[in-house]
Amino acid sequence: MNPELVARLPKKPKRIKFYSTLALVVAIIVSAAVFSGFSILDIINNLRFATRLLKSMFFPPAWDYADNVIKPLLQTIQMAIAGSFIGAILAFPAALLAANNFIKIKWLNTTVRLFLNFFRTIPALVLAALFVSIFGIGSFAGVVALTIFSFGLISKMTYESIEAIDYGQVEAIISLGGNKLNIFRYAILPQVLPQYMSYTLYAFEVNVRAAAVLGYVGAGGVGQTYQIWLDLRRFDRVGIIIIISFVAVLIIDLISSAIRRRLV
Amino acid sequence: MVAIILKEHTMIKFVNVNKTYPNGTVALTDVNLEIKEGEFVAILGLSGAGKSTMLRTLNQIIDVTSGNIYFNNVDINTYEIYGDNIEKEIEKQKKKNPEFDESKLNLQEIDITQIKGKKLRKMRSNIGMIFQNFNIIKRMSVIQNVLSGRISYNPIWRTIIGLFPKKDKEIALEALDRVDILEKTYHRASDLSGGQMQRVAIARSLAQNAKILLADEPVASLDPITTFEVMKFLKKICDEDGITMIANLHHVDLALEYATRIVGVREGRIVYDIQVKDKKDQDIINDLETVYGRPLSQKDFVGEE
Amino acid sequence: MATLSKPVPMKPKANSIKKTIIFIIVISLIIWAFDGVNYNGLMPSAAGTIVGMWNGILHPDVSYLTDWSIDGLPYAIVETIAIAISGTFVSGVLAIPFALLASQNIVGKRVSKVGKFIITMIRTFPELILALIFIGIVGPGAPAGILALGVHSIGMLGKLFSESIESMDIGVKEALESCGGNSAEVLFRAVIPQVLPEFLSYTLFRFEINMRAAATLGLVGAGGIGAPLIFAIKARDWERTGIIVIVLIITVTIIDIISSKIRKKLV
Repeated sequence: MNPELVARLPKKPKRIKFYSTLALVVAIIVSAAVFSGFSILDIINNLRFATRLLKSMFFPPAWDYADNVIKPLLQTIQMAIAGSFIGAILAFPAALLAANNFIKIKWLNTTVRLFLNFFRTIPALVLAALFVSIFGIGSFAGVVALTIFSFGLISKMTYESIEAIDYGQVEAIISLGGNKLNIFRYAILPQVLPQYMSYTLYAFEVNVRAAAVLGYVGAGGVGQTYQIWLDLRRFDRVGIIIIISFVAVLIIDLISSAIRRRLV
Repeated sequence: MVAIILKEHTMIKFVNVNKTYPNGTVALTDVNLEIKEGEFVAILGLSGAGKSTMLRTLNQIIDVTSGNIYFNNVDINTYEIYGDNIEKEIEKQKKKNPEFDESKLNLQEIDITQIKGKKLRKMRSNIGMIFQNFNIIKRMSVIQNVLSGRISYNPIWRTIIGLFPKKDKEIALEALDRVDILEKTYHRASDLSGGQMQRVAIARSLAQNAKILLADEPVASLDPITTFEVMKFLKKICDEDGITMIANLHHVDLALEYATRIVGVREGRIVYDIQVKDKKDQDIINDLETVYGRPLSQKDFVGEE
Repeated sequence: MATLSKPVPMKPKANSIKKTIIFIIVISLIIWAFDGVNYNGLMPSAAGTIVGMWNGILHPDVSYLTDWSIDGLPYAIVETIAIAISGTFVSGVLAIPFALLASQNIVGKRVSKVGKFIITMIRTFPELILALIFIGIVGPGAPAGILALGVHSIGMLGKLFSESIESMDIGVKEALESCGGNSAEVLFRAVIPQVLPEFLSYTLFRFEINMRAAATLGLVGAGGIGAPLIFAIKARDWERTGIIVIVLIITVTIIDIISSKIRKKLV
């Protein structure tokens, strides 16, 4: 190559930062895998169990047991509706308090947000287990757990929506002499309501899935039956429960997504 | 023995090309066009007249509904385009590769609409293309973008990892030097201005060793000063390297200033075809009214340099 | 009232009827839902339980925290994090081919519909059940949890990844095709560099969710903090429950904060 060209070449940058970050990430991932005893060889060895197990679950599933699944499944859906509903109602005022463009008291905003964050950090199943200890086995514990979970989820998404509104409409109401209630009714509500309803439906979708397994800790719904049949090794019944729950969740998802799309 | 084609020929020949899109839009109708090596062809016409489609059928990014597009003197073994001046091209090959054996050459006329897969890709590597919105990979460095031009000369594993041999790196650096942007070699492409990005795109085509450069509205997104800069580069590589330039342009004065030939397209047909030196500029401007269907106005010109 | 120059237009009736019907349906659903919620009253021991829980938070079992052995809290938390990392990594890698199959601008309309359907199927399958199935295959412990998280996360990541791919600029793809690149080259030099930052951001977001999921999966025996937690709750050992919940919340919150910071720098 032309030596004059070589003389004019810019310096090649050393990409130390990039390579060291990459090395760090790889190290973390590898140590995580090693620590947890994850080994691809073991998995491959055990795959034959997979076919045997799946066969006993789904080929064929216990079709005759299907009727017994419907009732607990309906209870599951009831739990999801109730939990999402109450959670949503509680979430709205919380969101208003947390939004930094409505009630502009900083310590209040921060405290409410921490409070909400707290509830989002505990997994729903753990909440359900705790409430079973208080309310006993049954769907009530599940509903309370779902309520709290939905409360955390919906309020976060809603206050982010409130903070993202077009502030101009708020200014318009203020300038014609409106108070906080007017601002809420005429500037915030119209803009945020569709999104709020969309979030509630989304929480409902998540809750239906969650409710399906809460029973595992005794909190009602179809989940309770999994444990029984697994212990009794009636995998064909486990299979039919899975299939019916799966279809139900799929249908609910489709309906809910369709409604959500028309809302926003 | 080098096969010599006896009839009068041109490097590129469109024969009765028609294109109708699946949604029914008729983009090209009965296009017949011959382009000689080394020409700087400016294609003018309204938006939607079919200029983009015509350009893209040349390298078959868009296929034709009927018709043929012939490339002359293509070596069947390597699908390299030898163009109109075979001897000169053979000299170039010998310089690049001392062991070049011209008796193994088998030059034929190839219809690009009839080839697919690897053969098509090999032909494409002879044809460079630059776009209105540059189509540079913003997150990659400038040099990696230019090296993309070398992908058909390297095995897949090299191109995926981005590890190109020294020879290719030198080619890329020389290309960057030709477009006068060497100092940005290791910069991220997104750091560059529009005009600089377009120059990187040109460098990529140079690194490809393209014999033909297709330019789809190359300066439409640039400010007037940068526009002239880029057009000057295109003219430079056309004159110095003998690269055949085919450019869709919006601005008439650019065509008059830089092109050797103007082709006017209207509603999918070629309605005007003239060598720029054959007529006075003002006469051509008047003629173009038939291409645009209206008298020319201020916005058809870039303006004074 | 002054006479108007034109008659007042009629208020559209159809809309109100539709709205009323929807309102009635929704209310009925909600009432039906509450009917199924059986409030059996508080357990007789409820009061004591609540007091116990409150005490457990105030006086957590710190000895569990300082127990560095395999039965101790630190080990369990680290295992939970390890499960979340491994599961997220597996799903991040596996989601890419699924996402490509679901993207209209890569594989065309028909194939992408199939791809999207498969991803939806995976998303709908409950994690917990997946964990139970994997426990049946590879036995209880962390690897089952990793597989369950890994497979389930493909659903969410596959969907987000394919949305990224479908909204990218195809011009760069055109440019590489026109220099003679084949599909693999176009994929690696045009598609992936463009969508990579978004992919990483989504993967990190999924990692945050997987941390919570990993804690849950332990309940059924897939490793991590879930098992000790459920044991403590069932045994009504509120001091132990307290320390676990506190440490879990702190850990998840810290990871959330770090992850958000990294994600902001990516985009």
